[in-house]
Amino acid sequence: MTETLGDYAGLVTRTIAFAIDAAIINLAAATVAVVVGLGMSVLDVPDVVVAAAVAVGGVAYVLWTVAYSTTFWSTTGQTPGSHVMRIQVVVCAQGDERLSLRRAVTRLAGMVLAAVPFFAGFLLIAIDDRRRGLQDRLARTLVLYVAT
Amino acid sequence: MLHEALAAKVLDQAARNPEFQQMVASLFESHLLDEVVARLLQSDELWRVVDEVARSPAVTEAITQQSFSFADQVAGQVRDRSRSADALVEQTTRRLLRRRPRTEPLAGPPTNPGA
Repeated sequence: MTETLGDYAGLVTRTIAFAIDAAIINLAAATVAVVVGLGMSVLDVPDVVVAAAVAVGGVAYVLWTVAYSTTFWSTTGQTPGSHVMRIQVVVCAQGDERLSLRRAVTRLAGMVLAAVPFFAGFLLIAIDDRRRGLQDRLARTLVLYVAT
Repeated sequence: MLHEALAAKVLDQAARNPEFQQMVASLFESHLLDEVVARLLQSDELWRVVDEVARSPAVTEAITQQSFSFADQVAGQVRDRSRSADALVEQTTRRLLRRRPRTEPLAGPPTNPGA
């Protein structure tokens, strides 16, 4: 199947793709948390260990989120959510070139920054001529529709 | 080969025979057929056959294929609508902010490095 890249992807499509990814990330994390939690409740571990496990779980959740996004962006340019919505992240100047890991991390940091001022960073997608959000401007990326 | 041709010819002639047609019609009108169907539905063998057919790889594969194509269809519709919504949200936002409509070409990213 040959894929060609089309117009810049808009806010609604990207939001749906993001929601699908968020659902996958949280479902996997919740499953692990439930299994570990049930195991610990049976083993009757001390409170200190529980507190440590919660801290480790928090760090693992952040790492999992970072790994999920950056791995997909830097390998296929498409997270599972993007794949469903047929959109792809590419480097701004190089057509359909994939992101480097460094650029992917920058983009993810940009997404966090974009969310800080009441998601105003994402609203840039609706007014930018190339439909770029703050994360795209920082990482110099574009999100395009994939035409099959 | 010869037997098959002969059998087909005999069946064809029988099907055209008005007496045979009447006989078939009366069979369908009689209660005999209803009774046969009722007995068939009560028999365990029939349901065993249905179970076997339902479990067969060909049937399960066909059902899976249909489920996938249905999911694909739903996803396709969501994509189409979301793309229309993209344009609508953009137009509305730009109008609210009193910005002119998007001028960037719709054919994808620039290909010249450093753009």
